Amino acid sequence: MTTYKGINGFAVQSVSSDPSPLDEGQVWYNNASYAFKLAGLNTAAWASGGNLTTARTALAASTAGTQTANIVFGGDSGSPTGATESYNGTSWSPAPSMNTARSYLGGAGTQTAALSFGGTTAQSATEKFNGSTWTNNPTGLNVARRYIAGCGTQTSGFAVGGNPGNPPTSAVEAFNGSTWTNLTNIPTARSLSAAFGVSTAAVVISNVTPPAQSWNGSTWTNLPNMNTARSGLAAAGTQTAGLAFGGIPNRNITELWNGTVWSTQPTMATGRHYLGGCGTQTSALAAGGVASTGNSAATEEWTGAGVATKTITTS
Amino acid sequence: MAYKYCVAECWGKGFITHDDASKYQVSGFPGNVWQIPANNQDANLWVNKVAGVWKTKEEAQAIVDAIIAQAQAAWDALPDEQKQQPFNRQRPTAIVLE
Repeated sequence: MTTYKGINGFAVQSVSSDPSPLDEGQVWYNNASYAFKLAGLNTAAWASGGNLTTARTALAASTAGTQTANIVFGGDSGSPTGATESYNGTSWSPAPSMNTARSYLGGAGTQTAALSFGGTTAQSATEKFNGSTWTNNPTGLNVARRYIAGCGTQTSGFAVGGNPGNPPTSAVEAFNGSTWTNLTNIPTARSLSAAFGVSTAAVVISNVTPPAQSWNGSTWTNLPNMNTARSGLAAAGTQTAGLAFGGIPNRNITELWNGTVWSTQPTMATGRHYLGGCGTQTSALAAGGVASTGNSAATEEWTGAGVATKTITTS
Repeated sequence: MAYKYCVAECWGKGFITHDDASKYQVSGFPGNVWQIPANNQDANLWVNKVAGVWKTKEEAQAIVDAIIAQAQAAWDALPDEQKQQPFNRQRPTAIVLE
């Protein structure tokens, strides 16, 4: 009889925790969960997450947060709100509200160190969240604006474009934890964009021409066009491994950026725009937004293609 | 591609799992209408899992139409200044199920 040891030259290992990193085809017995497990190939797909407590559009997220630990804040649930909700990978729970209610704002940071800036109507207000409370930053954006794109962290935030009251602006600013500094303008003014990456290596996307432009900390470069250029979308990831999802109007489209080209990926179940997003190219989160008939509470969790742990069952 | 329809309320986590979405596409529409591929055993099992109520295409379309009509009426009732705000939500448009 063919045995695992006969094929591989060694027996299935009994371990107390799942190995990391995984090698495709690897098999082990987890003696803590009493289960045989396999490192198998995972198909990219969106799955349902916990619904937001309050359906809303034009919200922001802690863009550097993870799929299992992040916050969303602000937005519009009939009127601009400062409401904040915290996600644990399963459900959302209320967190303290921002001091200034607003929608179409920018967000950055993590669940315990988040940053909010700008918003309706053309505010410069900047607030910092420490996991418990929001605090007004003494100084705000140099260019007050709404429909702004943001990414990065609380101590290295990045704000691009937006609209100070028509036309859209090309202003770009970086936040060092205390103050905003003007950077080189993006060549194409734009609003309702999405940004992903960090303040020294980011990509900004929307439906202008060209749709995608890349920032290396000092200069901007045009990138290949997305397959479906659109605004009002969300994004996650890094400058060389990004994910863009949703967009106007009520799009369920997902596109993956590998640093060279865009590729179309499986769609979300709920098409929407003005949504919040965070995470990485292989583990992202989409929350809220506006769907075809109104504000959405839907949350969806993206898992990219790759090697993942699977439990072996006998059924 | 042929589709089937059901009505089910999305309760959140676990409604559509990664395993579900890896096997077939589930698309949501107004009125808690969900579209799944026809002749797909896994998708049929998903409808059972979420306690979905099967609808014919015509029934599903009627549900979607009614919700869209409500949303259009609500939009029409907005003051003109709100309708004309740039980037404000547009009047909901009809959706035709495939």
